Formats: sequence, structure tokens, C-alpha cells
Amino acid sequence: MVRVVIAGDGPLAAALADWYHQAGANVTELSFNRELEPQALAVAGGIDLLVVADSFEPEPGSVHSIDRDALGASLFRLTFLPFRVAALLQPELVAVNGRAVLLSRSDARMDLPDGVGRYLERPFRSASHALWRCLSIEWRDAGVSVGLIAAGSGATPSIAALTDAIGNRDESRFPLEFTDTSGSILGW
Amino acid sequence: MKRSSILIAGASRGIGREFVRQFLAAGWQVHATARSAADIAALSQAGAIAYALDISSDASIAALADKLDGIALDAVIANAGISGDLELPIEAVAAGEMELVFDTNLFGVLLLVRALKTSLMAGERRLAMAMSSLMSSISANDWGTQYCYSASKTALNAAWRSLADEWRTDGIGCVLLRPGFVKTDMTGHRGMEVEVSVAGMIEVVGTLKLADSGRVIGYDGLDVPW
Repeated sequence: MVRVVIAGDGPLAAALADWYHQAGANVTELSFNRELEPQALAVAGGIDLLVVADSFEPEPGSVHSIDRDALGASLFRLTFLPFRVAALLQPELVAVNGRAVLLSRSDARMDLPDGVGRYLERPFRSASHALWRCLSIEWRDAGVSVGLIAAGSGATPSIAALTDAIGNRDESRFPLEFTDTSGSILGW
Repeated sequence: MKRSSILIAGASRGIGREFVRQFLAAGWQVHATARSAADIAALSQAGAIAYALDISSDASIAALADKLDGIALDAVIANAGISGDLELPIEAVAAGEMELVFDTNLFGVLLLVRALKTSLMAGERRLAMAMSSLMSSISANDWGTQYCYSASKTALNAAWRSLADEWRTDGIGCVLLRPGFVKTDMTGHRGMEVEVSVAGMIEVVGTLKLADSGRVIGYDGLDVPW
């Protein structure tokens, strides 16, 4: 039976967990709470697929509306936790040549204008994209495939299209690129 | 003729200190910050108007903004930055280490420039600048490593792009500079001479227009790809 771990909170994570469960996978859900580390460390037996699908979405606003605490909270949720959960689960991914996929948003791209002030989101998603690019490079020799997919921005994505994209282990793209659900490469 | 004025934050040594020296030599009025009393005294002795600043402290940033109230700045270079532990393996990167690096390299830099907006608006050139790195480039990265440092600089690129969009209507240009691989404490004194890098960046600064806002530009005049 295929072993799938869905990490993160929100409707997207729940929908993906349900989809993989219906498809017959052995699904483990990891919430981004204080139990994350012990629960991640308790996962054993190999992981075929890790999907980080958190729905944290801070409010945009002027640079004058942000403070250090809000910046720190976004760093923790959007950058640190996805990287951390992948790091914790790396031995189980290596054990079965698994795949780790981070779901992000297309409007996190730096090559697009930011008309609303995404100071609490875009820097931290971009940082996360940078870190997952590092993972794709450093874990390749260990047999772990790494993906980064724009799950949409605002509208609920098609789960069928998303799971197709998640499962597409296209090794010709190395290092990691940021793609949409059709497989088209997006800018950074 | 009115002298151009600039504030260099993080000017106690390395690239920041060399910015002070070269801008003074070029006839600019230079405001400069450092953390220790000895470094502040050294900057004053060199001819800068020196202030204390700890960029990781909101109170320190506010105090500096108060001291600069009513003073026009043509440009600000938020040069403060730390590397963190560049040797940490992936599994050893803890939340505290990541926050420490981001707190200086992103949070402090962004909040400092925000606090100095009034002074920039009173200046003529209106340039809000900070220091990026080739390590910030996701597309150029085919080597991995240096997780917290490189991610913090990527985040800075993204934040500056947003700031450029927000402040464009105020006529403030928001540009990041890439010094290249320079002989400093941070690089173990390997790389090019700091004088060369800083001279290149000052040449870039001299050419900047509002249309350049949002760019990340190297000491060599070349853009850093996202």
C-alpha cells in the first residue's frame, strides 16, 4: 500500500488526505501544531509521498501595517515548518525513494508585480521555494524527488489536476522548477 | 551646491565601512550607524555623522528615526546583515537559527527603511537600498547549502519588490545591491578587494532612476536573476 503523508492545515490538506484515502493509500496527516515534531518522528516504514499543503494566508497590506511579530509568525509557518517537516521525514523518504512536494501559490512569484502588499506572504513563500530548490539538489543522490507546484491563488484548485501534477515525477527538470498543475514552468 | 546625503546602516567594518569612506571621498554628507561605542567613535573620526543602531531592536530603529527627524536623506543603504551558521546541515536548522538570520537580514532592514521614509521623502534622489547576494537567486542556485542565509536574501528580494511597487508613487526607488564575493569577515577574507566591490556599487548608485526600482543589481551592473 502506498504511504502518503499530508502536512499542514486547512481545506486543501483535508481534501488531499481524503482523495488519497479514497484512492487506497495509507494516509498520515500532520498538523502544523506543537505536536508536529514528535508526530513526524513517529512516522516509520517509508514514505512514498509527502505533500505539504498548508492554507496559511496572511492578510496583505501596506508596509506600514506590519511588525516584527507578524513577520516572525509568517516565517515560522510559511518557511520554517515546511522545511522542517521535510527534514524530519527525509530518512523515511530515502528508504523508499519517495517524493516530497510543496504546494505554493502562483502569486508568490517575485517576477510579478505586487499590487496589494504581500509582505507577510511573498517573502516567506519565496524563501520556501529557495529552500525546496536546495532540497531537490541535496536529496537527488539519495533518490528523493522534490516538487514545487502552484496550487492556485484564491480559488480552490481541482484536486484531480493537482494530484496528477503531484504524482508527475519528471526527473528531466533538475534542479527544481516552480510549475503549475499542467506542468508549465512558472517564474520565481 | 547642496551636498548629497546618505545613511549607511551597519558601517562598522567591511562593506559598510568602505561605503562610508568612498562616499565621504566623493563629497557626500554621510550618516552612518554602528552598534558599539568604539565603532561609533571611529566613524565620527572618519568624518561621518555617527549614530548607535541595533537593527534587531524596534526601539533602536525608532530612536534613530527620531534623531534623523527633519534631516533629508537622498539615499539609505541598509547594509546590516549576518550569515548565521553556514555549515548547518538541513536536519540541524532550528527555528531559532532561522529567525535569528531573518530578524537581521529581512525584518530589521525592512523596518529600518520604513522608519526612514520621511527623511527619504525630504531628499532629492529618494533611494532605499539594501544588500542582496547571488545566494538570493533561486534560479542560479544549483549547489544547495547555506539554507538560512540564502533564504533570507531571497525573502529580502521579494520584500523589496513589494516595497518598490508600494513606494513608486512616492517617487522612492527601492533597489537591492549585490556586492559580489568580497574579502570580509563574513567570507573568511576570501574574494575580491572590498574597495573594488564598493566602487562598483557606488557607480551603480550614481546611475539609478525610479525606473530601476525593484531591481537587484550587482557591483558589475548586472542584474541578479530571481
